Amino acid sequence: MARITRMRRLQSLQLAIPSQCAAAAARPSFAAARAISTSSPAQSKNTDWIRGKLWKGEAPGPADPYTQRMEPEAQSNLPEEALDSSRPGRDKTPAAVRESRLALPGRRTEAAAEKELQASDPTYVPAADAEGLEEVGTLSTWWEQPGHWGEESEFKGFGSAVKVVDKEVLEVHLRRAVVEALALKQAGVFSEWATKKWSEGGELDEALAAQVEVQDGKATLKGDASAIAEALTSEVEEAESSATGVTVEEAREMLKSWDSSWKNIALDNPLRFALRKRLYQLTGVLIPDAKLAAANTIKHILTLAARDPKPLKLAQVLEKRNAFGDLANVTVHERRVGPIDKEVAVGRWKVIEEELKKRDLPVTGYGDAPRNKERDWLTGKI
Amino acid sequence: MTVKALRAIADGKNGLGAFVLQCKKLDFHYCDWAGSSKGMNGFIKSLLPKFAAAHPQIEFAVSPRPGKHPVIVGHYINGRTKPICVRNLSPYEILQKVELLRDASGEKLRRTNKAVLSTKPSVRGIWSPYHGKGMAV
Amino acid sequence: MKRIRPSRWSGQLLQARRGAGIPAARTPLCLAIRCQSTSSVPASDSSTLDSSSSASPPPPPLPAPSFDRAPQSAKLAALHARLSLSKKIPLQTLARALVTPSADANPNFNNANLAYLGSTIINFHVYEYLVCKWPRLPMAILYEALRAYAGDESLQQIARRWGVEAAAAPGEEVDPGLLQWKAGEGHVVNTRWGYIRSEAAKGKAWRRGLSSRVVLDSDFGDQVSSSDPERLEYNALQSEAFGSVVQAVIGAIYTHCGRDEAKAFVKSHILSRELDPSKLFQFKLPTRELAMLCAREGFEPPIARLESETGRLSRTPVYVVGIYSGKEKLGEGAGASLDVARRKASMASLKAWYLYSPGNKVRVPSDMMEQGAKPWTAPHIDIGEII
Repeated sequence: MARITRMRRLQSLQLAIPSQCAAAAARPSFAAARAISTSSPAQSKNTDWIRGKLWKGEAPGPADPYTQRMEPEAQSNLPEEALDSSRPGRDKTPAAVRESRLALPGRRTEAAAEKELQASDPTYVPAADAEGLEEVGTLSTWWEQPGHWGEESEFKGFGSAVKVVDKEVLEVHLRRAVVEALALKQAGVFSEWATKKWSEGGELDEALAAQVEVQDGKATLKGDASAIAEALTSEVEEAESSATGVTVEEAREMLKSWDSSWKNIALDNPLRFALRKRLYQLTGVLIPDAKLAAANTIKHILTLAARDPKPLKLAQVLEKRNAFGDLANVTVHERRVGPIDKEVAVGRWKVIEEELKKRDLPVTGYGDAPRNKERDWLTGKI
Repeated sequence: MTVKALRAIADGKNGLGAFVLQCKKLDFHYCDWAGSSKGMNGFIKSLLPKFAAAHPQIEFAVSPRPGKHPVIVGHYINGRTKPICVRNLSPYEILQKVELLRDASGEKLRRTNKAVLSTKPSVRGIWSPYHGKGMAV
Repeated sequence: MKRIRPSRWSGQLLQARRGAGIPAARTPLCLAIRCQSTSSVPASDSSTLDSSSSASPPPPPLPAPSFDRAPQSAKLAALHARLSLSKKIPLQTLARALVTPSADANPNFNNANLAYLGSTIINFHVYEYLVCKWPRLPMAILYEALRAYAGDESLQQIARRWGVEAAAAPGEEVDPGLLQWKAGEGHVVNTRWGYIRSEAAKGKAWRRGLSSRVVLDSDFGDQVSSSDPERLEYNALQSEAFGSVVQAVIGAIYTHCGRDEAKAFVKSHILSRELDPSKLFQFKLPTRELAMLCAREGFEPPIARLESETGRLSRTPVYVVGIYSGKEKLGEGAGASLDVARRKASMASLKAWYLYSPGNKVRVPSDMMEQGAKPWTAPHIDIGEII
C-alpha cells in the first residue's frame, strides 16, 4: 500500500507543478496516462452511431475525448495485402544472431491448410501415412546434426591451450618474444603491430639464433631481424604449426649458451605489454595487470611468469624415495581407499554390481533419482 | 561298549607353542594438505619404513584421506578394530601410539586385579570337609 | 597310527568278505589341464588371424586370483611372516593354500592336493602323540580326541587365530591373501579317505563295530559315504574350507622344507592346544565296566565303601564313596545319593585307569627319524578296551 500512496503523491506533485519547461509538453499528463490502454479505433467506430444521433450530423472533436493521441489514419487505397508487404518489416532478431555464420534453425512456418490447397490444386491428395515424407528432426537435436556445429565453431582462445609449467621452457619462450619484439622495432613496424596478432608460426630456431646485445638497458639485435619481422607480420595462416615443443633438457642447453645480460633489458610500456601478450600467446601464462606494472626488466617478467612446481604428494615422495621398496607387507595407496575399493578387494563388488544391474538401478551415483530432499529441508535450502 | 565319546575342541593357547601377534593390520590415513597431518606425514616418511621392516607380520596400508584428521586404525585377529586419531602429534608421539596399537590384543579394556590368570586347576586342591579327621566343633 | 590287534584276528576275519571294502570311487585329486596364464596359449600367426578372431571377447574371469599377483599382496606377506614360515616357501604356494576347491575346481590351482598331504601329516603326528601320551584311551575316545585336535572345527579355529579372513565372493580381482571359498553346489569332500562299506546302502542305523572302523572308515572313524557326497551345512563347509588352509600350509611346509619342519609346525600350532581328555568320556554302565576291568587285570573285585557322609536325613545329603580293590583305593566320588556316589566313584576309577599317562615327555615314533636319535624303547600301549 505504501507504494501506491507514494505514487499518488508523485502524481499530485506533477500536477501541482505547471509545465515549466517545454519538455513538459512531451510528458504525458495524468489524464492522458489513464487512458492509454483502452479505446481502439475499432471501438470508436462502434460508437459513431450514437455520436451521430447526439450531434445530428458530423460530430466535432475526436471520437475518444480522453485520448490525446491522434489515430494515424491510413490514407491509402491499396488493398490490405499490399499494405502489409509495403510496411517495413520490423525484424526483432538481435544483430549478433542475424550476422552469425552458424547455421541457425529456420523461422517457424506453417503449411497451407488442406482446403486452401485443394482450392488451388484440385489434384492434391493428402498423405495417409509417413512413407516418403521428409524427416526434419526436432529442434533439440539441431546442434547434433552434421554441418551445424563442427570443429570450426569451437572456441579457440588467444592464449596457448597448453600451459607451460617448466621455468626453463618459459625462459626460452620469453627470449623468443624479446627477440621478436626487438626485430619488429628494428623493422620500424612495432607501433603498428603492437596491437595486432603476431603470427604464431614464426620459426623458433630463427628467433633464437639472433644475438641480443645489451648496453645500458638498450638492446640491439644482431641477426636477420627483417626475416623475423617478416615471419611475424605474414598473414599466412599456418594450421597449428605452433607445436614448437621444447623439452626441459633442450631448454637447459639453450639457456647455457646465452649470457644473462639479455635479462637486463629495460622495459617501456609498449614493450612490456607486447611481451606479456606474446608470452600469453606462446605459453598460456598470463601475468596479471596489477603485477605487470612493477616489472622493469625482463628478469622481473620472468619472475612474475614462472611459478614454483606444485609440492609432491606424500605418496609420490614415498615412491621417489623408494621408502618401502622391498617391504612386501606395506601397500601405499595414491588415492583414497573408498568403499568400492574395499568391496572389490573382498570380491563383493561384482556381486553388488550384478544385483544392481539386474534391478535396473544405477551402479554408482543416483541415476535419474533426485538427491535426497530431506537433507535440503534440514539445512533450510528449500 | 559302555564308553561313548563326547565331542570337544582343543583350546588354543597363544604363545604356548607358537605366538601369533594379535595386531594383524595397521591403516595409516593422512591428508596431504592439512596442518594436523604434518606430524603424521613426517612419521610415514621417516619412522614408518623402519617400523614396518621390524614388524613383517603386520600388514601396513598407507592411504590418503583428504580433508580429514590423520588416523591410525589397528585391526586385530579377534575381528575388532582400534582407531586412534593422531592430529597435531609429532612423529615420536605417533610412534608411541603405533606401539600401543601393536601391543594391544584387540580385546576391550578390562580391569585385571590378578597378576596371573590360569586355566589349570589348583595343584593343592580345594579343601574338603569330608576328608581327613574333620573339625571338632 | 591305527591300532591293529592281530592277536584277535581269527581266520574268519582274515578272509576277505565279499564286497567288504571297495576303494572309494571318487578321485578328487585327478589332474586336469587348464591354462591360467594367457601366455601359455600358443600365439598363432597373426596373418592367419582374421579381424573377427583378433577382436574376440576377453577370456572369462578366473575363478580365483592368479598366482602372479601373490607377491603384491601385503596380506599374504604378513601371513607368511606371522606363521614364521621359512623363506623356502614362496608366497605363491601360500596363495594356493588359500584357494579351496569350492572356489576353483581345478586341482592344479586349488589346495586339494596340499590339504590332503597336510591332513595325513597332521593326523599322523596327533595320533602318535595321543597314543603314546594316553596309551589306554578307548578307541572311541581316541577318535574324538583326534577330532578335537585335528578336526575341521579345531583347524578352523587355528586358521582364524592366524588371521585368515575369507573373501566375500571368490574371484580374480580379490586380494590373494584372502581365503577363497563359497558354499554352493558341486562341492566335493576331498580329504576323507576310506572304504565304502557294502552295508552302507542299508542306512545309517546299521551298526558299525569299532574294530571295523579302524580298517574301513576315515581317520576320524566316520563312515565314508557312497558315491554322492552328503550335503553339508554351511557351517560344516565353512570349517572345512578354513581347515583346508591349515592342512595345505602344513602340506606346503612338508613339500618345501621337509619332515622335521612340518613336525615342528604341527607341534607348535596344533599339539600345543589344550585338551582335557577326561571331558570326552560318557559312561553307561561304569560299575559293570570296572568289575570287568578288575577281572581282566587280575585285581581283586572292586568294593564300594562309604567313606563319609553328611546330612543323611536332610534335604541335601552328601555321600563320599570310595572304590576299593583289596586294600587299594581305585577312586572316589561324592554324590547326593549312595548310588550316584558309587557310580561317580567307579567313573573316577575308570578314568584313572584309562587316562594313565607315562608323562609329558613321551617319545613318539617320529622322534626316531631325527639325526642321532637314542635307541627306541617301545612305549607301553594297552591291549585295548575292556568290553
